[in-house]
Amino acid sequence: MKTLAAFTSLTFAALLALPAQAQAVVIISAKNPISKLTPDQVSQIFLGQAKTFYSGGQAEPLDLAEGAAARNDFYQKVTGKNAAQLKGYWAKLTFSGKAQPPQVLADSHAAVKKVAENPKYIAYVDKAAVDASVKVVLVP
Amino acid sequence: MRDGIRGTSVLAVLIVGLPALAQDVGQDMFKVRGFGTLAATKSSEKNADFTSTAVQFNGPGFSKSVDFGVDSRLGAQVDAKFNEMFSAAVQVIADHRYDDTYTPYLNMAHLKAQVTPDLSIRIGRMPFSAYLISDYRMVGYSMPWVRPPVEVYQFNPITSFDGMEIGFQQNVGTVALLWQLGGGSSTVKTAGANSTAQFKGTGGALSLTVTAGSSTFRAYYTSLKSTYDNAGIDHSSDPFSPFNLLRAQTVNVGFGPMPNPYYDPAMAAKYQIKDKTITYTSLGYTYDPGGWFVMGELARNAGDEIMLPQATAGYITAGVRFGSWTPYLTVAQRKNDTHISNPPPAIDFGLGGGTPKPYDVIANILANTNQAQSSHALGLRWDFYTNMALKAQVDWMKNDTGSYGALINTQPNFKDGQSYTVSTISLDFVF
Repeated sequence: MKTLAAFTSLTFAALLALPAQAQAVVIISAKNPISKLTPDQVSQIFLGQAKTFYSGGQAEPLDLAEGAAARNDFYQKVTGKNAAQLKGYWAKLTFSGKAQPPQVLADSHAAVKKVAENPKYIAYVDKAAVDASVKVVLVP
Repeated sequence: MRDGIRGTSVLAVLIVGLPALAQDVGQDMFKVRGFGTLAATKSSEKNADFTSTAVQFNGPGFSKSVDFGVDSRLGAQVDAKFNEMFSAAVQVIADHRYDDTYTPYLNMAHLKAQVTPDLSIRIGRMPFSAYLISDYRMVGYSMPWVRPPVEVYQFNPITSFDGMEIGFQQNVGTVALLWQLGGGSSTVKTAGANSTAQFKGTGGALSLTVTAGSSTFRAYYTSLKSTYDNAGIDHSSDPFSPFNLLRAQTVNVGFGPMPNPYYDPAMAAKYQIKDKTITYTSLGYTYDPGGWFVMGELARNAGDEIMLPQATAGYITAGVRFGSWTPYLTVAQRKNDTHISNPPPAIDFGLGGGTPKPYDVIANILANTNQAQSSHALGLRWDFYTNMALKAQVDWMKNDTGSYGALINTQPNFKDGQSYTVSTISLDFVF
């Protein structure tokens, strides 16, 4: 029983520690011709203030679930907003009927898979999840 | 030990289950969300009631010692996304109303068409956004204070309008511009002096929101054809009610009609709000780099009629974020145009009885429209839990001479031009 408890604790310690080490990178589809984006450009897209990439073409951001380490790291660095401030920001827009927050994906792998599908998508993911189907346009 | 394991298992299910749930919700056609505030307010002015909007029936001070009706509110919203182009939003709100009930009302019900990524059209009922935060003035969680400064946000009772709005998003370099052009009408019931009053406005509005880095600037202008119907004054069947009396050439005094000594249709036309143009202009600015913020707004309410409460108001708020704690400070002022404080002169008709009734009533209405006041407020917000915030705020209010400020139900012992304190504790949440 003691061993099981210790094992469970260890597993959770590992689970909690892992995302904290992960570094968030911003990705778009490998099919998208853009090679680089600035933090300001990325911030505008994720806050719904820009609906297209600077070079034209529809831009649709994708989110990771609330509480994901990559999510907090990304928003803090790129928009200067912590989780509570971001929640307040989207509450302003949703409850005035102006805009909806980005679609939420389960994890970085799901986000990579989705981004690869269509050049309009942009997401932040754990660096480790990146593969050849997408390209990194910003390392915050 | 067993409890510990069970607890861990529950936690594990939650950790694994929540993102999955969020994903499901993210792909659903319908989304249900909500917001709310539970707030208790106390006022040191015991000869009148403090209110935060023009539609509240009573408040803390005279009517209540501690009142939950000033800022408490519950809102629920359903968003539907039909396809890439069409979506809809319906929002219902319950808060303290003109008839002293919390009967829920429809604050939003519109269809949105995203014509291109940059161009959208909304048709139906949407928020009336005359001021910087009036779009979301109901959502306590989204604003720094327990309530938006009353100097600006008590200007008009409208919270939503029925009509159409075109939104156009423009990006010039890293500057984002949002143009909004709207048109429509709105009807609001307010708590009148002796009865329920109704405010109707129809017109158009233009706003520009510019966002660059941590700065947001907003300019707004609207012009409305307004009618204010107070059942006791405007629609009374009593021939001796002020506007009826001013408009009648003859009066019946028991033994038959005789010439009306108070006959003055020009005076009635001048002071009755009926299809009068009223304009709202506002300029707002926010700078929020994350660790601290400052925001300010300047608003002007004008029109082509002396009867309308013409005024200029503004505020500045600044706050610093220390982790989950955000202390903030607000300074606000509202000034009425000088001619409002000069009601029409009392005219003695030599009938042996001082000022005739219609002029008394009109002078009284004019005095009531004077809401000039200044205030400073100190508050603290604590984001103690996910999606929840606790706030405490103290407002030091000072009414101008001859002004009721944000107070209603003034009692015989009430003195104008006095200072008073409003203390509030609130719990805001979103879900």
